[in-house]
Amino acid sequence: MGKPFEKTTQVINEFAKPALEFLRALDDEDMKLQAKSLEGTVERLEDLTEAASNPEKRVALFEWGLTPQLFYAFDCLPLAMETFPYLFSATQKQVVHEFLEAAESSGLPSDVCSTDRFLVGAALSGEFPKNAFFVSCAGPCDGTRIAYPIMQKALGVPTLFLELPFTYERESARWYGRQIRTELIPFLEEVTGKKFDLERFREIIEESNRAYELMLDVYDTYTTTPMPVPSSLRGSPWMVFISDAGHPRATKSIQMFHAEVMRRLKEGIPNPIEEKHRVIWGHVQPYFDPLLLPWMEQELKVSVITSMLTGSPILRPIDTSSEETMFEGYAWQGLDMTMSLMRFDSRKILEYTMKLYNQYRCDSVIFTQHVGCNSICGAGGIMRRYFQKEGIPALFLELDYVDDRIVSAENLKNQIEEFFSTI
Amino acid sequence: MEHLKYFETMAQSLTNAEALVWKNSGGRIIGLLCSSIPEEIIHAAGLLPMRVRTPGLQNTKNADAHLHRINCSYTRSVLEALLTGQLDFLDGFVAANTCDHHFRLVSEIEDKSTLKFFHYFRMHHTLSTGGREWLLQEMKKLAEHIEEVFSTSISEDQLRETIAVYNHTRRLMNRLNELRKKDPPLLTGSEYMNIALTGMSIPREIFNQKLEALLPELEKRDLPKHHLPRLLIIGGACDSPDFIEFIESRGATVVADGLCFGLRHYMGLIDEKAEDPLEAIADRYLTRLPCPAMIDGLELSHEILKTLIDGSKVQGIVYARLKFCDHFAGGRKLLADRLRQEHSVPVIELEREYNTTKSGQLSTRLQAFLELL
Repeated sequence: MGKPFEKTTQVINEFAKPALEFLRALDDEDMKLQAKSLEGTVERLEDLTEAASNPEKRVALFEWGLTPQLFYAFDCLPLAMETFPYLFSATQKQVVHEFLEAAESSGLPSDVCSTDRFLVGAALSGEFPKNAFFVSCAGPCDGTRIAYPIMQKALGVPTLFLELPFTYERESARWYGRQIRTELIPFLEEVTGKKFDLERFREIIEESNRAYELMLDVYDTYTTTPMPVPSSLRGSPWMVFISDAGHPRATKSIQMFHAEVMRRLKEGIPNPIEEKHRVIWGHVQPYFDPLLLPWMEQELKVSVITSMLTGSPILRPIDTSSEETMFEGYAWQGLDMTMSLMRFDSRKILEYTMKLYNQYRCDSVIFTQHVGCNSICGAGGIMRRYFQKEGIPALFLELDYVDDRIVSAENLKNQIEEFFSTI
Repeated sequence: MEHLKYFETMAQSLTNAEALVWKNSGGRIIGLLCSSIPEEIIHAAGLLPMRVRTPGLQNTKNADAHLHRINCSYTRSVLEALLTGQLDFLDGFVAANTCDHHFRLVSEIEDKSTLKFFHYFRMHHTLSTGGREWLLQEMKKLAEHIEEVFSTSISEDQLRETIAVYNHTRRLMNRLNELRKKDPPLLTGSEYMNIALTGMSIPREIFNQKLEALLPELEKRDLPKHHLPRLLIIGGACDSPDFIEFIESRGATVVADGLCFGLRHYMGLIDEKAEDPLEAIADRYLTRLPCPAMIDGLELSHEILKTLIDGSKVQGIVYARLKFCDHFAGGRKLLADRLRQEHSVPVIELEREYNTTKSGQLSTRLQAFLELL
């Protein structure tokens, strides 16, 4: 059994900080931009790891369906759980394998989603601190619904499960917002010993709104050809937002990204990468090979312009004019955040994918069939038939986006190369 | 046992003699894809709710072109039956997003089915206040949709009549389960499953009459004593009497179940005196043996299963998980951990495909497990 955040600390010290120094030293605008994005991430992770040994602090381990602002309103340190495996899959694969094996040794079959197996393995290996608590929606997928009860048993920390509405209309967002007010807030008051302060929450939401507006601007620029930043940097503001929304550090990071993108556009600095193809990546792209997207750009002249789940803001900033609107907006944001979109039925997933496809002027689709995700794999039939009917080139890639041992990066590259050589 | 033969025959097919009589007399049949869908609403509308199964189907080649190989074999079998016209006798479908497999099947059915009525029941996944509210909302939507499509109305009185019929069934099934607790049990696990499946496949009132006639016969049954290990079988889409018979043929007796096609369907009475019958129906779904899709259902599951283990003198548990079923994978892990800690009942997981009834590998594993007992 390791110490809380022991492996996370290793990633910070042995990978993130040296990488930061390395990137800063390079004479390359893109690398400098990446370094600036990484700075905030390192700071956030250091705050988290420090909090693990401070009994006065509370670490909020939360699942999609929520965003960090409310946890910051209670002075907690939030960790968006589903981003956690990606920290390791790109840097310390042996930790990924170790945690997956810990989960499997405890009796979880290998056909369960690797993200959930990773989290269970991390919990069983002592990676999460005892001064933490869990908040999860009962969705959007089977993996979530089994991982959290297991983690709750392993850690014995306070846990709250919220009902996730599998509908898309305004009324269900309002209903979900009421649930946040009547169930989540009393829970947070109890675990933190602090009273909910509406004005503090408003300030934090306003802070996150500034970041969200900047992010909307940035994503608008991705409709240009070529996109002003390389594919590998495209999702940075999104990752910062889902992990840290409401913290001034997140706003600063996205502001910096925004300024750089706008400068490039204003000064007419083109992305040197020629875009022969503009791709929407459906579901989640593999994180275990950070060089995959640069390879696609350099070797195949293919840019991944957008992604269905990781990087397409679709809402307006949260209306803070009243408590009612604020909770409705906060609820919507959680419901439309990344993996929560998997509550969409297959037709709705398709409709949303095509909206992004058209908005970002894509000409082809790569769609992940994550081998542990019964949901996205099950939606594949309807998607495939539609793309065929419409003549949209689409590659369905079976892979595990956390575990590189299932389908290797080389294998993926072969499939991608073959696909683009035929269209 | 003439009466038992009746149940065996009825369970063999969805288009059984009773269903055909119903259909030929102008009755409508609505297929249900999950035991969590409150079928009382359908019954109260004068329709016949029928839990969809695909007995005997071995090949899913058409469905495999639409759903993925990692989608469970139950959902692929249902889609296959739909695509090949085997479910054309239905007048409608109610499907739910209980799990991701069912969730994606919902869209495929919606896409392919030409039936008059299709309803997507958005399932709750907690037993919390929020979950109860959500379930009630969905029940109201289902009732409204049925009323609209079938030009009918579901009155409070009809709901109360249905509750009485369903409670009667569940009391009779409780009586039946008492017979399984005897030593030796007065019916085999496969006989029980045939009865349970019949209840989901014919008009409920007829089922009640037939079961009333069967029970006294069974209660008088005189079976030789034996010392076979007493098993509890847990799982989801496990609806094969042949599979249960296969387990029993290895030298065991299945005395209790925690199956969607068994206890989960029949457990729990509805409060007949409740002010709001719809709420009373919802409360029964929230207090029966929870499906592991309920994220906070572990404590209730454990409590119910513990009573079952003690009451039925269970010596071993067979966890029959369909391949790729995450919910039952998590449920098994939590249950096995708990049973190891608090009881001394061993658990074996038999991973299977929906229509697999026997295999050499299953046989070997089962025999090793039974020797352990």
